[in-house]
Amino acid sequence: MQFAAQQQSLQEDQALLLASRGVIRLKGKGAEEALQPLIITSIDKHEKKPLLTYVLDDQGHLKIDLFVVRHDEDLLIELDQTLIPILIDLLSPHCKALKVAAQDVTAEWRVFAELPDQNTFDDGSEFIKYADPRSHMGSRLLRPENSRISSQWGSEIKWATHAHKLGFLPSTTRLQNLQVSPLEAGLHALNLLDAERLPKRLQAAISSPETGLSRRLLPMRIEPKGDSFPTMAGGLPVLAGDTEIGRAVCHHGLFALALIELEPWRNALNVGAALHCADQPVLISWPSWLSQESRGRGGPVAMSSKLN
Amino acid sequence: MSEKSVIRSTELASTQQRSCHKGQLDDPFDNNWLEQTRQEIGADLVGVLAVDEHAHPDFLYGVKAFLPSAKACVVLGMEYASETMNLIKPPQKYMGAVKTGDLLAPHVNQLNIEIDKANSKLVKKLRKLGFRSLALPSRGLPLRPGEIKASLSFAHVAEAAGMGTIGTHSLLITPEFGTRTRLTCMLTEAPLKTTRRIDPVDDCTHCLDCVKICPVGAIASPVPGARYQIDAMRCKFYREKFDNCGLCQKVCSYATGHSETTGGPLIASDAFQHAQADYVRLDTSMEDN
Repeated sequence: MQFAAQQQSLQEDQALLLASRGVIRLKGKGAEEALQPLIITSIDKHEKKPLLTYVLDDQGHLKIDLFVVRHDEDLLIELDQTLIPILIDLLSPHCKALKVAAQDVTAEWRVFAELPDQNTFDDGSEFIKYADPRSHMGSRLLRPENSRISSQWGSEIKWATHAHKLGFLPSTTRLQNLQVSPLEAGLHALNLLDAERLPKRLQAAISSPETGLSRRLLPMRIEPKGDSFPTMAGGLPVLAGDTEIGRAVCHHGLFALALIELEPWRNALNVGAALHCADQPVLISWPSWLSQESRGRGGPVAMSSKLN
Repeated sequence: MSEKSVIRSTELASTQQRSCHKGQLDDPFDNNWLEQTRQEIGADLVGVLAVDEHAHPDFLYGVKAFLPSAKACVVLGMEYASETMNLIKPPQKYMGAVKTGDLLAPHVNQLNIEIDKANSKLVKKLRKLGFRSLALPSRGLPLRPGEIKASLSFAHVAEAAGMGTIGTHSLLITPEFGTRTRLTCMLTEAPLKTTRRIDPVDDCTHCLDCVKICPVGAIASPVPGARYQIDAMRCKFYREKFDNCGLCQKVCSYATGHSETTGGPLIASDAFQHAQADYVRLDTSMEDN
């Protein structure tokens, strides 16, 4: 019976297939130098570790999120498939100068996420596994397209919902037209930013994010009135009574991310105004990894003693 | 006690009652009153959820069942001793050793007695002020007909009262004691106001350690449309028939930093790579017997 159970656990491959993610291969000795000018993290500081980093637009807002992984002498860049042509365009002048080839190799790889409670089956075929540096986001796996297929693979939606719960942006494509700076997304708290690679405006704010930032990307939990409710994304307003306190960014199931204006939100909390989005009651909270930047973590007891 | 003193104490009660009713404008039941009362009755935590027509239907169901005229629900919390929680071990580690985790059940009984005492003190205090009040038992309430669902969930009321967050394991995690919190409730006609937190923090770290540690796989990583996914029957059956368990509580207090000892040894153990296999092993050992 015990043997049967072990067999069962080997056959179960609980990885979540991230169908929206693709891979670019940077081939050539200057691959790192070609990528470095575009991203906000210094590659050499991270030596040979896999790296989660971002490309910003001209105004210093998040544009592309990408994982950089070394594979033989090349770099593999994992990112959203829709952003691949944009990144290849951005890379092309640097690649030309350094004689590096940038190639879309999405057809060769499948991208998986493995949450902290999940196990994946190692069938002996080639795979690349690297940790997601964001707390409790587990790890990623790149497996060749021709490796074994499992009927147990989970949906990307579960992975995205887990990210929403934790207050992380699953992909910059989910921002749609909203402009969010790396500090508003809390990347400084995850040590994903190197100050010297940031625009000057953000370099000043990074020293005192508690006072320097007026809005934050925060998790929003939906407390639905009924069995069905509309999608809360794409900049839908989040209201406290009639006052707008932020905009919904992306949403799956009961969990969403919202860009919240801190002062109006705190004022609404003080007067006990009910928060809602798309006519559904919502709750906004600080994620536990960012709690040090909240004004108080106390329950009612701590709150009353503070009032005294 | 002389007749005169009886009259005096009655007068005092009615004066307090009047001042409370009159004081609705200047709110006699503010946070200071609540904190003072908490200290008087000897509870570790207190929170209030006011009853109004927009409240959650599950909450209103409980209120209607027990005290339909209630205007507020007061939640009291008492800390579990971390010394007792630290003695809890997974079943494999008990092989041939003293089953120290069995101390949890008597400790819970003791806490129930203490918190029920605090609850009845609060009820008496509010009754003296002229408000009908009902203390609910900390052991739990009767289930709803045909459902494995409490008629009033203390943890959910506590979350709505700003005392903490319900985690992936469906237990309340408070900022003060994490999951090491025993709860009870009382319903009252006193017009208490809902307590709220400044900058609410999600106390659950969503680390999924509780999912990994559950020896019977009763806790699942929730699907997008759920906050938590618990197989209540499996959990209840295992706790009643095999072990007092409490592993999810213990591992959560490591994850949220509410344990006296740091770097808990439980999750790092290879034995817990496949929680389902442990259940089967337990099952097999029973067959052998």
